[in-house]
Amino acid sequence: MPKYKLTYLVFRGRGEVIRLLFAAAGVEFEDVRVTLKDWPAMKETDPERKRFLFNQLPILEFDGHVLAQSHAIARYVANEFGFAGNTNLEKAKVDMIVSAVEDAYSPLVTNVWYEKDKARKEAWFTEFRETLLPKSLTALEKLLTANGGGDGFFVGDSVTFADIMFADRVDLLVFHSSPDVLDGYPKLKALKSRVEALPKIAEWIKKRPYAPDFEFH
Amino acid sequence: MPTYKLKYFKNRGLAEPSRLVFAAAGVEYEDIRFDREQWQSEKESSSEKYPFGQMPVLEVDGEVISESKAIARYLANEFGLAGKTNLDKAKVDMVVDALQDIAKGLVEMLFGKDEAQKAEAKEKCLTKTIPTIFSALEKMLTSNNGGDGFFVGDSLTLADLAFIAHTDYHVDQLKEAATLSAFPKLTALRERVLEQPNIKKWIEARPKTEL
Repeated sequence: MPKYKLTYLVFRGRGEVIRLLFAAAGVEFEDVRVTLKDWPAMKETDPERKRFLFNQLPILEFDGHVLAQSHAIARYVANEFGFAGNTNLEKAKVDMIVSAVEDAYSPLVTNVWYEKDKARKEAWFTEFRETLLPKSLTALEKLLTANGGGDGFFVGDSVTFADIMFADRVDLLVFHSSPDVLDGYPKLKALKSRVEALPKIAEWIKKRPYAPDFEFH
Repeated sequence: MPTYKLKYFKNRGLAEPSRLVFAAAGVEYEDIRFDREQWQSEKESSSEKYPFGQMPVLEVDGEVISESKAIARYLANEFGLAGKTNLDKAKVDMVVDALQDIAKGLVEMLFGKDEAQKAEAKEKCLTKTIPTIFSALEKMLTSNNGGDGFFVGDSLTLADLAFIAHTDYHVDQLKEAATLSAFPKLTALRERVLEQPNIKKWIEARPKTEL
């Protein structure tokens, strides 16, 4: 087994799904967390971008290799340890769900974290709560239900990258809409609980360091 | 061989990497293109075929896959254009994802809310995003056997095809910025891939669209 070293910020953000995949696989990894304050200085230790290939985090280092781009890393870990789906078609369905969750969550980063104009932010929030989020959750609920009634997982009959991505990122979607938003999507709500109850994931969630994500806006 | 239907707008856009994968693999498919009105009525009448109400979608023997990268990766995996090992596949993904980071900026540049936002996006693209990402890709290409082959491994993959589809916009919409000029290996890769017989054939035959 190679020695894996994941470097990301102190947040859950784009790194947490990778941490969760390692946890689910029962695979040890070095979990390096960098504060926003320390990140510029860290970038300067690598002027030739041999580690921080795209000047960004996360990166995964192992056996002399460096991988960047959060989804590329996550999918690598998922493929290595059996959380990617079993056939090419299953993998495609997993990827589809992962992309859809990303589409639902990433506008929060642009429109909340980085948006300085208060009026623009409020207008976007309204659109998010009234249109964008219901549209995403409805589609995801439908896809989950289509897989044998929706009381298992998104794809096939075991937990994949898709379920873990959803269970992790949905916290932010809930936080920015309302605490009971998932009541309208019972299969998704049950899936989240089911994923978080899986022993290795439950253990990770219990012991993981505090991450100040939700205070970041 | 399964029956493939790829549905998208009358553009290259998000579907083109998948069309290039079909072309490179020499696999037949139905290249369905809707205009805005057709898409509106299609969305309403056949919503079950569009899981997220969006295109592109791929229909394979009745199965529906949505999300452009999921589709492209699926086809690449099916036809041996995805990279051979999990590590190679991850490197292919890295290239595709990095290009998408530039594409986000290009979309804002072309379709931003107002002229000020478009100009800001263009500035950021040209001074930060593109130089950072292209220099990383130039390095990655060069580290693969000197950079005179392909991005990953020793044969064409989705990474090279996604690069072609993406740089079409640099060559057209960013022509005067000559964004590739500082990157000799990337420039040569684009020329080399465009000369591959199957690719050349597709590019000559495909509908000519602005985007």
